[in-house]
Amino acid sequence: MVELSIGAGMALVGAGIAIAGGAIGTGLAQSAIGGAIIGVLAEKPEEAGKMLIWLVIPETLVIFGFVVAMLATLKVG
Amino acid sequence: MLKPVPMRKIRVVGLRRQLEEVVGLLHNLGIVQFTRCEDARLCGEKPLDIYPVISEQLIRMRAIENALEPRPVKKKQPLLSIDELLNECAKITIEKRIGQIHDRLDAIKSETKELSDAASVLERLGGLNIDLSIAKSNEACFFLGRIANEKIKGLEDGIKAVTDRFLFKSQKISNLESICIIVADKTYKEYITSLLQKTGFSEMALPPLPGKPKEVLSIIRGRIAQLEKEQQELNSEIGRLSDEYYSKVVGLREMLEIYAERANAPTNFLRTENVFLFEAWLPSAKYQEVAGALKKKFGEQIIIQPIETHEEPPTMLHNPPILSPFEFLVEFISTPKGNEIDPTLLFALTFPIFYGMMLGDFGYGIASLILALILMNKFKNTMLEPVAKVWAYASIPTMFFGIIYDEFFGFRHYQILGFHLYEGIPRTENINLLLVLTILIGIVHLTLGFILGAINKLREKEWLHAAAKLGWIAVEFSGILLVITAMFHMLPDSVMIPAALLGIIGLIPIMKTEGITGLIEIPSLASNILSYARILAVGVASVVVAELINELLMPNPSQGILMLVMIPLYLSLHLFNIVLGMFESLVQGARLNYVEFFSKFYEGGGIKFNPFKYTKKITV
Repeated sequence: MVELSIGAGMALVGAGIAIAGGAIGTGLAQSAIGGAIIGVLAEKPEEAGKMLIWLVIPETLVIFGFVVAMLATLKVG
Repeated sequence: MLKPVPMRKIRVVGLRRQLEEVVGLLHNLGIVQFTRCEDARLCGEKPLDIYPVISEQLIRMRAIENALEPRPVKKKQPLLSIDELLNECAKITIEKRIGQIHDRLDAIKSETKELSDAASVLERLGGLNIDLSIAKSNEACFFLGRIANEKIKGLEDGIKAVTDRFLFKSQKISNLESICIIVADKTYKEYITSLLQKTGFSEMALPPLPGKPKEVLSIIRGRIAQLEKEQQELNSEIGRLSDEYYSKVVGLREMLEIYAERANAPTNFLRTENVFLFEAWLPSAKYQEVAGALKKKFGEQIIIQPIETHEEPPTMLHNPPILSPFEFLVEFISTPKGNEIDPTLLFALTFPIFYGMMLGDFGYGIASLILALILMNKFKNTMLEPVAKVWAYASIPTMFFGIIYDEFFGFRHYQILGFHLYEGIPRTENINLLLVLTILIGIVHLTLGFILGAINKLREKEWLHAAAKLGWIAVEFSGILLVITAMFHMLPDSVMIPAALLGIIGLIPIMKTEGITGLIEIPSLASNILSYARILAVGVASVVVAELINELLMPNPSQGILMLVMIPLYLSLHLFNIVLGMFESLVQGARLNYVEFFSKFYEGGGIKFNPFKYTKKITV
């Protein structure tokens, strides 16, 4: 077992929180947008392409989480 | 390839007596799209006089076609003149006979169903030797139905309690139920009905024929056989009619559709008493061809003028066939406007690279190619076909990046070969390098987007907006210089002031065109760049799963009989990871284009060029 300092451990926990926060944020945003999109598509199925763009916009949040987590992990590593 | 076909609008004025010929000529050329003309001083043109007759015949032919059985169609039937066509249609007089056959087949079907239902009841009554004509008696009441076995005794006793002049017969049809027949004096009808309700008796419809069940059953079976024979004869008659007429009817239907389109086209035109006028879009390069053809046929009796207009032309994309699946993906979001850049080629160049970098495993590349080819074959002419083609194209860079990343179904090459061949760049061990690389890709891609945006604006002669697009490039590079100097100390601090100045200069045209919202957009530019880190994120997720599958579930001979479970489990988990990776890489690769790249220059919202023509499948 590799011994970690408290600081390094906290950095890794922080990396986890960064990913988790991004993922939860993306999930919350996409759930609201997804519901609205289903409403739109029921009326106008031809708008599927544009609706897809709105749906995927919040995915960037989890990518931010990933970048922060990677930076933290690499600093420790 | 980078821009839609240039279009030109024309106005044509001609004599109404030549209207039919003009429309016919343009329909054959198939390169103009009429626009609806409006002018309060002129009336709208009506469909050609022949339209109601054509449309009536068209309905007839479609009905006959639907009623016949499909047969191989003789291609290359010559287009008949309207008179010949109507004559040919008049010769087809089979609809009355077909109607009779179909009515009779429907009647046979419903009679057969009724008789089969009756037969299934009678089969169960086989053991009851009772004449069913008793049901029609005026003095007796008659009940036939199903009842639970344990209730039979109680029911019989209940009837016995009021009368001994009754007939009660039952026959077990399962461990739970029996069929029973009760015949009694009519005066007891109400009493017996209430008794039956209490026992949960479920009444059955009685076959309408007199006689004992076995006799009636044989009559019914005879009738069913007779009906089946008649049905076969009618079906073979339909078959004969289809052999004789189907190909001809389909050909006539297509010709009628061609003439119906022509006859209805003038509803877009305007007219005076003797003259018609219409406006239409056509590819600029085809102007001479169309004008020449009209002039050649109608000489000085037709006027063709190009019109200068600021209206947006319809969009006709012009890409080589190999790019058509990418064209589909671009149009899935929105058709480009007729005068803006067509991003299909750029999409086709960048998407496979993003996809390859994300899936990035040689083995997965081969698997995704095979899956894509299967899908292409299975879903021909559906929405999935272009997507499958995109998967197939993108699996080539996937294999290429798989070699660079040294990933073969999650293994390194030396783990499979047993010896070291080259030094790859495994993703899990080079996250730092690849993170920087993906961000750099993002910077280049977005800069290209801004340049294209500036070109679009220059073409629209919106100079300030073009400057704003270039301003965004200045802001982008200023931000990058500031970040790598202040956060990562990669450049001397003296770079910071010129970098900041560059950003401020870039902001001037942005603020002038977009106002304060321009400032708010700066963080979104940063988020756009960071968004390219998903190329790494999606890829690392996929490779970690692949490595875990290999580490934990790799079948090995020491497992003995357990191998029978482990091999399918191992393969199906890899397949699951491949399908997930294919889907995720497709969505994320497309998203980087749609959201990050397109937002810098692409407006979309164009209307596809839809020329006045008929796709002739049979007619020549």
